[in-house]
Amino acid sequence: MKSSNRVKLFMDHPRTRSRLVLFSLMVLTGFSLISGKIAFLASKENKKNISYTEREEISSRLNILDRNGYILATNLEGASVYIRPNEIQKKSLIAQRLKGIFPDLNEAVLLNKLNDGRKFFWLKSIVSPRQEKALFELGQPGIYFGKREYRFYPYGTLASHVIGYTKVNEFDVNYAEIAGISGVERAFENKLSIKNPSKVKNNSIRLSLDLPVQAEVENVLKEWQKRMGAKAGGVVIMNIHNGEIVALASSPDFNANKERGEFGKNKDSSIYFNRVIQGVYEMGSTFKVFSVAQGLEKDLFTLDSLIDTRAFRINSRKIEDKYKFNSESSIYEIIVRSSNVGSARLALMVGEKGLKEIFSKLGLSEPVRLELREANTTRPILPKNWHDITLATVSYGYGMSVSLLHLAKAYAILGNGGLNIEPTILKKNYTSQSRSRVLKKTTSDEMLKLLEAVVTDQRGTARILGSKYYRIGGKTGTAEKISLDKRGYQKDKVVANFVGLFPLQEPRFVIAAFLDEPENNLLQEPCRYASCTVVPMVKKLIERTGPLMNVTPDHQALMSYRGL
Amino acid sequence: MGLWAYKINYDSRAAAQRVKELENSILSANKQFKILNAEWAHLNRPDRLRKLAEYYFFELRLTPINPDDFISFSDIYWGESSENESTALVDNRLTGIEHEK
Repeated sequence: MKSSNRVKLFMDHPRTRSRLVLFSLMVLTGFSLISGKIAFLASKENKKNISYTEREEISSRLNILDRNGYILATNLEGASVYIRPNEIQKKSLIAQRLKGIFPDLNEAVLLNKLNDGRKFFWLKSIVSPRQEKALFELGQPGIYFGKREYRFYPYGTLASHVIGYTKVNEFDVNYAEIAGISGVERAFENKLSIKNPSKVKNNSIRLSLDLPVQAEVENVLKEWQKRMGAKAGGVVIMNIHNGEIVALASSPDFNANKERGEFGKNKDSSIYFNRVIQGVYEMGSTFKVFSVAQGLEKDLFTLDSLIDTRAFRINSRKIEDKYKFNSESSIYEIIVRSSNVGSARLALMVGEKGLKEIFSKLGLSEPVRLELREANTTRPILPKNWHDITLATVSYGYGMSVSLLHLAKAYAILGNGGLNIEPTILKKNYTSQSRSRVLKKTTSDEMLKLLEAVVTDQRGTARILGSKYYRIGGKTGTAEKISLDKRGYQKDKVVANFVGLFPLQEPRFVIAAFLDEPENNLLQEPCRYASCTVVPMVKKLIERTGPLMNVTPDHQALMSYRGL
Repeated sequence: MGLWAYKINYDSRAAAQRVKELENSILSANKQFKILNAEWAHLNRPDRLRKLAEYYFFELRLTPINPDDFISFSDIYWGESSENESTALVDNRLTGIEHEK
């Protein structure tokens, strides 16, 4: 009782009361602060966890696909291997075991590296997952793995010149930067190389190439190059309406998978040279159609006009033909039988201005504006001055050098109704390219007739191209190569080429092919002309690739093949 | 309230952990997918398929596609029942019974 009174007295004391209130207020504030903080922490987004995937992001590279979606180039994860020798005890045993995993290693060199006191060295720039597993299973300290991505080309040498190859630029223990060196890999470097793979929605670049067609083209080209003993060769097939390159093969080629190591370098650099895009050659008679086109465009003559085809001289240089022509021949015959004299006469009629105009309209006087850098840096070699003799020789393809792609583009314009096109290596929509007219429709129609006659006429230089499946038109060209001292030409070394359009009932594709120094020894006499070297190859190419590109055989072709 | 906040915090941590695990498995599945795609493409190399087609020619009779393989609509036997039934064509081509008639 006594004590409760004392408590009451104590509580009644005004100072005590206010102290108690203050104390409980402080406790309450403390608790609410703590629970507030807890609630705040719980409701806050946990950044550390969310950012987990960002840390996983390493620089990567997009896939390259063909027009059907087949993977032409992709990035795979691998590992590089480095060694810290001072962490390894039984050095000779380890060297022996490593040799077991990598048979290409030199055991003595490896042992030397392990023993010479260095603190660090690279064992392999890239190892396969199987080798990585084997190394891991050694359980040996001192062997380390660095994270790597490497470029893989599943089809090896296929389309290697178009796709190009990559090289590892800078690298460190867990970092390696891949950079495109040539082809699409280089041209689209900015698009292909990505820093944040998860943020990129479209993870590929789709090319206009058609893998089955490309494979067939390379197969036939290699077989024919061997058969004709040619040094090199090239083929390009392009859609004449939208400029899409469906197949582009240059032989010899290379395997881009072998170029990826930062240590490996191929000795023979000529294999990287894209002969279709970068190689400029004097093309010979395939040039003859250009002065005809310009003459038709300006109404200077028709295909039936008669031209003097007797040999003649310009400044003491004789212009003559290998075969006998009548004193006058029609333009039709000049092209079908390929007369140099007739062609020179036509060029003189068309004149310097006319020739320059048609060359510029068909894109023969400037680099082809293809996306690939190789094309943009390849300038045609034009004559320095345009005397009469130059006009004459240029008209049949000497004194001016262009690439096979140039020719393909020019013939595409001749065959598509006279509309300008820009070749492209990317898959485009048919309607996306607005095209300007550079030639009259009638000129294009006449040219198609003329080109078909080269194949169907019994005297035509490409008569063996006559196919029972397709109507094909085109022009052959054989040019002697300049001698090494650049004073004249070598009679026994030629560049044989052919440019054609098919199917002629509704032209869709241009095919241009060439062989460097071919010789057909399968005939009674050795033959170097395009008509017996490149033309049979083109026939095989068209009949093999036509069905793959959904070109249906034409009834009319069968009739004319049987002479009906 | 403190307890509630504490529980929420732990739940969210667990959820974040689960997200991390899922993202990890998605990443590795993607990697696997990429490797398998590349391997499939590598196995389908045209030169390899060509050799295989030659090797198994007697079993499979595979030949390269040829312009002769195209036929016109008029060459197709559509069957007697209906002109629009394309399935009849497939059956006939497979069995060859109708052609023998």
